[in-house]
Amino acid sequence: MFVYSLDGLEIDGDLANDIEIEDNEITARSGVYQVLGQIFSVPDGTDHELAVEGKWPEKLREAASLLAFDFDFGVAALASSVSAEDYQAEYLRLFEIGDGDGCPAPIYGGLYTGGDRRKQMEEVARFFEYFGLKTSKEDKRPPDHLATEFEFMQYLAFKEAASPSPRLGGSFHRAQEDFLERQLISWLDEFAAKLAAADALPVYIWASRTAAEFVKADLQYLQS
Amino acid sequence: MNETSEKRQIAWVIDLNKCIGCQTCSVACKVLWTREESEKAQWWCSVNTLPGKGTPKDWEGMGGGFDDAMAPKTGHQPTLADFGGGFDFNHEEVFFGGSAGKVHLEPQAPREGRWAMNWDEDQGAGEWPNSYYFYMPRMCNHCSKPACAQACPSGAMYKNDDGLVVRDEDICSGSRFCMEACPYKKIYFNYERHVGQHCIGCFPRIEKGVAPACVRQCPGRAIFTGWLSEDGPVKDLVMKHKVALPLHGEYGTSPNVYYIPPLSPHPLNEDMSINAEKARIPPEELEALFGPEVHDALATMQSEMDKVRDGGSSELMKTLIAYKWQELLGPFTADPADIIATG
Amino acid sequence: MTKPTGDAGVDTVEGGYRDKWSWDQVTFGTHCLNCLASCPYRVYVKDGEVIFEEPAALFEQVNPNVPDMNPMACQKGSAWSQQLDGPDRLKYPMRRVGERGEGKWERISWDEALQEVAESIVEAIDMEGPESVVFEETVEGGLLTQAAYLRFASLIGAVTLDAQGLINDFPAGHHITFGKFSCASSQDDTFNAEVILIWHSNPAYTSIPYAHFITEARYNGSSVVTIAPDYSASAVISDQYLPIKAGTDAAFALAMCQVMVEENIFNRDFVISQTDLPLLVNTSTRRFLRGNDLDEDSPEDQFYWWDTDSDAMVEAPRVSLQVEGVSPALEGTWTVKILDGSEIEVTTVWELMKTRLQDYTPELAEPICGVNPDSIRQLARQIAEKRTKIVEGFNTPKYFHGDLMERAMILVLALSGNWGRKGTGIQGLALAGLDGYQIFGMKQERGVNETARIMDGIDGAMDQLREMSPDSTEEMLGTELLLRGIAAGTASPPAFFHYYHCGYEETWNNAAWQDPAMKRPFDDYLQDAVRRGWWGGLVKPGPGTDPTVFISVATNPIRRQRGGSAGLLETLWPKLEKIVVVENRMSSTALQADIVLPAAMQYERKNLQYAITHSFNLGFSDKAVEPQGEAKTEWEIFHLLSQKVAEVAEEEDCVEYLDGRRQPRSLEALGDQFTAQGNFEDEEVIIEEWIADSVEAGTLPRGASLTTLREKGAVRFTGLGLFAPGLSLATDVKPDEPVTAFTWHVEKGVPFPTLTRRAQFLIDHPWFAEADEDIVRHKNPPQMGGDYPLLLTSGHSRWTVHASAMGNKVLAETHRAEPLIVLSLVDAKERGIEDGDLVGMRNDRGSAKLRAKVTGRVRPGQAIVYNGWEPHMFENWQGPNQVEPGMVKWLHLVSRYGHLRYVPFGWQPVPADRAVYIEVEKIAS
Repeated sequence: MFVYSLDGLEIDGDLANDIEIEDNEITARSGVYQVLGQIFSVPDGTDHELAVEGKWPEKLREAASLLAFDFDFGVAALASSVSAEDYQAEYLRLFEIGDGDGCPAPIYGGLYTGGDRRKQMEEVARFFEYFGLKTSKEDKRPPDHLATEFEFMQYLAFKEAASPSPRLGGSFHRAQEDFLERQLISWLDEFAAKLAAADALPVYIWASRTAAEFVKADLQYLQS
Repeated sequence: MNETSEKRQIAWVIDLNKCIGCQTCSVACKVLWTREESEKAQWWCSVNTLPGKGTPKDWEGMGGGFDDAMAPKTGHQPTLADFGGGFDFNHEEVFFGGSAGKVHLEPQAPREGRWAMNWDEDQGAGEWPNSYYFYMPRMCNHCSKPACAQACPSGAMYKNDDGLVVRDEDICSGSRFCMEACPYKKIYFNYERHVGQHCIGCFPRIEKGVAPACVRQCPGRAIFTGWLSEDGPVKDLVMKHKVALPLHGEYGTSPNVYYIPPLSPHPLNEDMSINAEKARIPPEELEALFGPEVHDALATMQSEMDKVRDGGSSELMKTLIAYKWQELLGPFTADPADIIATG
Repeated sequence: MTKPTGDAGVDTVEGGYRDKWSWDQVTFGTHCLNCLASCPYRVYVKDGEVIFEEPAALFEQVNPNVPDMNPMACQKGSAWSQQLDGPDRLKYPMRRVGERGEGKWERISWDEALQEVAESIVEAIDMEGPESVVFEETVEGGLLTQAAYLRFASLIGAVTLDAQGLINDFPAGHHITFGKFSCASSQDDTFNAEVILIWHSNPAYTSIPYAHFITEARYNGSSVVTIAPDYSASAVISDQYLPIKAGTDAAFALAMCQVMVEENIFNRDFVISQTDLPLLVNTSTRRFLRGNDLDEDSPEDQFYWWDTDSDAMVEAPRVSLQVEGVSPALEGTWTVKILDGSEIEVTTVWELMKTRLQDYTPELAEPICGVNPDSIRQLARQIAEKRTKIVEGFNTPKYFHGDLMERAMILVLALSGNWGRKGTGIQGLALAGLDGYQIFGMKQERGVNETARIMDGIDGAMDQLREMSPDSTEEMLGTELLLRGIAAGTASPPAFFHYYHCGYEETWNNAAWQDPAMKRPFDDYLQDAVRRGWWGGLVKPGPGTDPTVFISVATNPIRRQRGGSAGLLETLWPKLEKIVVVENRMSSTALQADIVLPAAMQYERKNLQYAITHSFNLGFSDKAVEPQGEAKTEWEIFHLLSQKVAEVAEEEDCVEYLDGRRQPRSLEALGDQFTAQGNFEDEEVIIEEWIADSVEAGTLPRGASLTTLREKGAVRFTGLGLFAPGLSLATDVKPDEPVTAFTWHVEKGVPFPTLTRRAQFLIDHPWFAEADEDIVRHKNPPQMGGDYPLLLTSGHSRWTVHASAMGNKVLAETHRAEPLIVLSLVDAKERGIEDGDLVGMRNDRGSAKLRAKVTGRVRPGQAIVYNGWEPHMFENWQGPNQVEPGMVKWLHLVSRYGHLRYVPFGWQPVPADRAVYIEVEKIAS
């Protein structure tokens, strides 16, 4: 639904990848969200490798090297007995398709917050658009999909870092606060709890717990 | 409806010091309940300027109610002409009929004897600078001794457990004895369906804990509602402070709509100085409406207002201000929009 | 009396009413946007039809010591649903058949209608230039209506006649004194006042949603005084009624001032810090002593005090009103040496004022205003001691000398220290800015990037201005920024349009209807003003350009225009090639149109109300049902029109042209430009953008969005906005207090946006001096209409907001459903008129026939015709504006005097209609 990689993303007429920004505490956060988005996307072969080698936490730590606040990303690995196909199948079962009896831990935020999901998705979509993300026909993920929400945080943080003006940077900063508060934080705890209760793959239990804690710490940092 | 079949009496208290005659209560009621063509001239809630002939015209002289011995007094049935209104207009001709300015938009009704719900609005009595008037909303009083129900030959009218005087329109035979018997003349006749109609006390709303429309929509925050005998502003104003009085209590029907009588600015002398000794609205006129208790009620109102003006505190004034709008609604604080669509 | 046993009967009928009270959908909606309150209602829909509405009543209590805003409603709003399918509703595009005003129509398609309109616009542009396409600005319709026609007009370079110059809700006296007219606190602040003066207003009629704050204040120890000619509906809920002769309020106010000065009960510190009264003036010229009188290098707007501590002249500070280390005198005369070495005598404005006040002792004022001298004294003493609020309406502006009344009323407040504190000040219109709406006009794309770019741009421009005038306040800079854009904009003060194109030259030069104190004919002043370039760039279409296409969107000039048919129908109409009316009801103006385009009504479209500070909430009106017939929203109409105009221009080969400022323009991409390349086509997207941008700018709270507005109906503003109209309130917005205007001036010493940077009571402009109005005084209303015995006053009615409810059959039943003139018992008897008689009112301007309502509450000598009756409700379609000449006061042509210069929706000549002289005669019973 959205342009979720910086490839092809245009910012003020320049291709995002061509824009040079110094790495700093903001790009660090962008990087962390990028990794979180990858963890919660449908896993391919590369993702599987990373998971088995216990590299997800490492990737997060790498991205977070310039993070302005302390955060322990922990450790977790996928058992080598779980094949790439199984990994993907488990993803789909847990998060998107379920096993005939609904998903143990649906990955769509709108299902947790109550109210009219369609209306909420419209609001989120308009929020995205206001901040410059145009919809892409390629990906079929709805806007309240966890991976999409992480990608949005990635994007917003990147835009803050790349802002030509302090005002614009401030806008993106506030947008991240608002988005964390109104969207991610409102449902991640419950999501993590469901995974734990569903006896999911430890790597997903770890990832959801870590993500739930990270967004809270991040919001605190943003508001300080 | 009250499930425990314990009878309660809903009551209204209307503060005539807050009523600005805006007609929101009457319009709220009308748009909700009497939208049909056959109900065009019906105004279950109406607001009139007093002194004035009101609606139906000169209703105060039409009899009904009970005498001191609680025997029914003869009453007169108001006619369509007495109510007036229900105008048709000539929009089509004026706007689309090529009238070229020769026809103008106006009610298509005979000029002679023309009347309407609020015809004598803001005319009042007296002469400038000492003219006087005030506003009085009226709806069915849901009397504790309803002369209408007693007069009904078919048993269509009864008092429900909430104290509302309700009519079963299927049983109503259109005899109109109720219209003769009601001394307040708050009953209308539907000529198309051949039944009487009157204020239903918004019972569908009451059932769901939503205040009557007249109360809930009043922008002046002038109308209180609640159970007469349960703690709350209605009970306080009627029984404790005794500033809320029935209209024409002498009609004998024990009405359950009470009024806080109106204060008014002092009249002026010839030289336009203020005559602080006199009341603008002749007290005898207020007494004719609300009974001799009105003098004490007015005195209480004035002294409590003076108390606050001098820096003191007054429970009565706090109650009347109703800092939170919901205080006006008694127990009926539900928001209709929260009710999942019915029907 | 027992309950009947037949169950079925009971259930059926009771079920019938239960069924009546059922719905399948509820949305938020509001209506009657011309009222500005825009009360949040809930709209109940069943089977695709609106069945009823009810106030939403969801406001939180702002402060525990102040009643909340609920329910916020009135009978007009509660009956709005009846107008959607009312008998005057316009549903299809129509073209007139036969003569204008004949009332014969043929229904045409949208395509055909827009084609015809587009052709006329393109032809007008080609032949006369785009300034021959004239719009009236409106205050009806809400923000999306405004945005639609303003955008279109702006893109083609058309003219939009400034709404204030049309409707006249402009208290010139506020502007003369404060440098701004919008200064009203939020309505709940009235509860905080100890003395409430209902003066030139009738809140029982016109402020229905808020009137309860007055009745509640009365119970809270406040004293409510109504000052009015007639015993109005507002007098009914007052503690005191002071009868005043219409148009004499300045004398009454000045008398109260005289008492405060004579008894020495005025607030000296407040006067010294907040006003120009301690400033020094040259006693022989009655002009301020200015910097460049003393020193070549000193600025012209440097003013002076006499410091009693050092017994010397000192500069009055320019950057702050706080008085520190100096004791400015109010009384005295002194000698100073000026630039050329000579000595002049100086005194204070205060001394000039004191001299003036000698003419207005209570005993001298009584024969003028009719108020008893003891009453004057008592009230003055009360006001001097207590927090006083003047609940003023929009009535004074419509008096010829309304500015004098307003200046005098404000002097009362100045002397008693009654602004900038809770429960004080003067009410009136209170505009705020919805920043998102303002920014929208500059946006080419959606999104925060554009917003930041624009806001950075504004910051940059403000920085530049700040550098040029480092002493200016944010408010002054904001206004300067606004003024930079106006020459390139579409707005024009309509006085000039009326003068050059609508026959008012003759009217305004009629000395019999003008102020007898005018030393020269009106034309002299107007030509003088034009020659000096005081209104340069604003007079459009100029005398050399024939108005060709007249487009009226949600406005009703035929009803409203003072001067009646002589004003527009007889003079302007014949000049116009095409008259287009966009309306949702058949108004008097629509009846006179060539093409009528049906607009969607509230409840049938999404919209935001205007940003105003009365309730301090922004309300959203949702689309509850589809528009009737083929009605469209104005946004859609003008989008389609833009596309058509581009097409026609292409066909006619008139794509490129020069606008009124000789700038090249093109119609080629007008359709795309209208929506900014498709960015702003969907109205919901637009509203969302306005809200998001307002959040960015800090005027709406974080988290506000269309979604939250849909849930709650309204959201409270968190700031005044970035732009001048909002900033004029000059206060901080606190979440737990009513909004009190002017605290910045009083608590922080922020200067006023006037020439002297203070509330200004001396206007030392030669025209004001010539008129003896440099210092405020009373003047009788001119003999407008001629020498006739009755004074016609007016006011907004209870039953309709202007004419918008005149087709509402439910509301028609709450009055007599026809135009009335309200007469006193005395005047009626003298003329043999009885209640209900058909009477004619007439004067030298014109006449109209209507029914009499006779009552003891009206003052002898006064007649009242309330506002809003459509001309087509009168015989021969001659409405009350037939007897209103529509005079303008020549002093409002003054410009380039400090703060006296055009501001959109502000300073300009405005038409008077109150206190017109008429005679009334019986025609029939």
